Amino acid sequence: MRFALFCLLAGLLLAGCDDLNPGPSDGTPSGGQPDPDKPTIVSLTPAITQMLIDMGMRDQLVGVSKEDDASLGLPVCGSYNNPVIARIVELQPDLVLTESSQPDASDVPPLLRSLADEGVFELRVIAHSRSIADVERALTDANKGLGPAIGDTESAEWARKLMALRIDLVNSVVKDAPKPRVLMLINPSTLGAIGTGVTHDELLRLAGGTNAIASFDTGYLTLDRAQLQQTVRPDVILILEPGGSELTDNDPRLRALEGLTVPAVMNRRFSVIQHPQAMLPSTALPEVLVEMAVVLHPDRAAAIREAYDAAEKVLEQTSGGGGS
Amino acid sequence: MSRSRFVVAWSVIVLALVSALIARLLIGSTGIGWQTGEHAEILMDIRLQRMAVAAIVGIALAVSGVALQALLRNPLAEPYILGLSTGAGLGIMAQGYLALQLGWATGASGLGAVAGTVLTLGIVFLASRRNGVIDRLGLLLVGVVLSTINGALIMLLNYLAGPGVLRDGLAQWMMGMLQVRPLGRQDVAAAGVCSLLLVFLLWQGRAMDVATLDDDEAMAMGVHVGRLKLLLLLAASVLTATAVLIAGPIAFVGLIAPHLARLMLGPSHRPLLVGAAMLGAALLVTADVASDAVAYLQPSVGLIPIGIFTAIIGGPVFLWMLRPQLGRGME
Repeated sequence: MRFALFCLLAGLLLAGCDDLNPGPSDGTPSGGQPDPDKPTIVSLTPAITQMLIDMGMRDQLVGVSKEDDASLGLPVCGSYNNPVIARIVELQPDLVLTESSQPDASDVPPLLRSLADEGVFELRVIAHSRSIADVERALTDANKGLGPAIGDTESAEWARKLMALRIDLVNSVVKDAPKPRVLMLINPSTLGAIGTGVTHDELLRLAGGTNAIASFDTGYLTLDRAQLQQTVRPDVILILEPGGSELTDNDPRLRALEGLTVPAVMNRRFSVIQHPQAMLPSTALPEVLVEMAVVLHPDRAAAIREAYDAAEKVLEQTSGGGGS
Repeated sequence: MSRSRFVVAWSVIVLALVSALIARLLIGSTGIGWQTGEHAEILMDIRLQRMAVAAIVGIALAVSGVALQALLRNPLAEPYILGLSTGAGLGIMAQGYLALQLGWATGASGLGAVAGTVLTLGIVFLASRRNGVIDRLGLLLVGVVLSTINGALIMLLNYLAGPGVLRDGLAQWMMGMLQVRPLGRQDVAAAGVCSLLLVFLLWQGRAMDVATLDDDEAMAMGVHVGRLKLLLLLAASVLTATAVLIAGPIAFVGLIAPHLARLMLGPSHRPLLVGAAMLGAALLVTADVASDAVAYLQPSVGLIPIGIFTAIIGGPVFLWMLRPQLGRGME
C-alpha cells in the first residue's frame, strides 16, 4: 500500500512540474513569511480563505482555490471538488482546509482523504455555511471549526466576535427605519430571485429591508414579469453580482424590468451588490451587509459606515486588547 | 387526400392553434381568466408579448425542421442536429467569459450567439462539401461532431469561469426559456425573418417535393438540386439561429411539429410547411401556458423553463409516433 502510494505521489509530483495551473512557482505568498510555529495552509474555498485572512492567518496560506481572488498572488490548487493534488503535494502544507455540504463529508475527493490518512498533510473539512450562525460555527466549533483545526481558537473567537459586532452595530443604525420591500436578483435577465430561508434573506432583514417574495416561501425561484408587476411590487431591487459593474442607462441587465410600473422601476431604485464575496457566506458578510444597508437607507449611509468601522475599536476596548 | 380528411386535418390544426392562443390570453402566472383591475393592461400586454415570442420560436423551429428533413431526406432530422444551438451556446459563454476576464460589461448575449451560430454554420458548410456540392451524410456527421466539440468547449469555459452569474445564466439558457422582457427590435426582426423564409420555402415547395426523389431524377425534372440544398441549409440555419437567440435550445418542437403535420396533411411541402408552422406555434404557446400555470398554482416552484416541458411532453409523443418504425431494423 505504502509503495503504491509512494509511486502515486512520485507521479503526481512529476505531473505537478507541468505548469497546468499557473501561479507563483516558488510557492511563497506575496505577503510576509509564514510563522514557523503555526501550520502552513492550503485553502480550497474562497470562504475559508477569507475567514483565515480575517483571523490574521494570511501569511500561513501557501495555496488557494481557483475561485479565490487572484490578487492574493498564491499558487492555485484547483477547487474543493476538483483539487490539483500534485500542486498541493508540491507545496507541502501542514494543513489542507476544504468545505463539504454533506453531513458525512462524502463529497471530499477520496485521494485527498487517502493522502491525509497517509500523513502527507492534515486534512480538515469545514461544514459549508448557509447562515450567519453557520459562519460563526465554522470559525469556532470545537469539532469542525477553523480555530481548533489550526490550533488558534483565540484568533477564531476574535474574528467571530468582530463579525457579530459589525453586524449588530450596522443593524442598530437601520433597525428603526422604514423597511422597503426588496427583490434580490441573482440573474436579472431571467428574473432569478432569492427567497427566504437563505443567508441573503437573513442579511436583508439585518440591513433593514423585507423580502418582497417572502410569500412564495422558497429559497430560489425564477419569476415572471407579471408576478413582478402584480404581486411582488418591490420598492428596491438588488442585483447580486460579485465583481459586477455599476448599472448604466439602458443597461441590458434591466431589460426584464422595462415597462413595469412597480415602485423600484418608477423611482429607479436598483443597485448592484458588487462585493467579490457577495454570494459566499464568510466573514466578509458584514461588508456585504453594509453595501445592502447603504442602498436601502441612503440617508443613513454615513452612520452605517461609521458603525462598521467602529466595531474593531469597540471590540479591542471591551476585550482589553488586540485579538489578531 | 380525400376532401373530408383534408377538412378534418385543417380543422384540427386550426383548433389546436386557436385553443393555445385563447389559453395564453386566459392563463397567467398571476391568475386565471381575463385580467381586470389596476394592472390589467400591463398584465395582458405581458401575456400578449409572451404569446408572440412563443409563436415566433415555434414557427421558426417547425419550419426549420421541415426544411432540414427535406434537405437530409431524413425524418429524424431536427433543427439542432447541425450543432447550431451548441454553437450559439458557445458564443454566449465565450462572450460572457471574455467580459468577465477583461472587466467589461457583459452586453447583450445575442452578439455572442450570432457569432457562434454563424461560425458553426460556416464550418458545417465548408466541411460537408464534396466537389462543390453539399453531401447529405457529410452534413449530418459534421453537425454531430461540431455539436460535440462545441459542447466540450462550453464545458471548458464553464469550468474556467467557476460558479457565478455566468454559469447560472448559461445553465438556465441551456434549459430553453422564453426571455422575460418586453418585445423589442430583436423580436420584430425575428418575426420578419420567419415570415420571409416561410414565404420563400412555400415558393420552393414544389422543388422540395421533387427533391425527395433521387438526385438524378430530381435534376431530370428541372430542379437544381445543389442550389436547393444550399438554400435549404441557409434557410434552416437562419431559422434555427433565430429561435436559439430568443429562447435557447428547445427540444422536439422542430421534430414533432413537422411529423404531426405530415401525418395529418401528407408529404406535399406547401401544406406541410403551413401546417407545421401552425402546430409549432401551438406547441410552444401551450408549453409556455403550462409554465405559467405551474407558477400560478405552485408559486414556490416559479417559472419552469419551457424547454423542460417540450422535452417531457415531446419525448413520449415522439416515441409513440415512432412505434410503427420500431423493429424494422431487425428485418
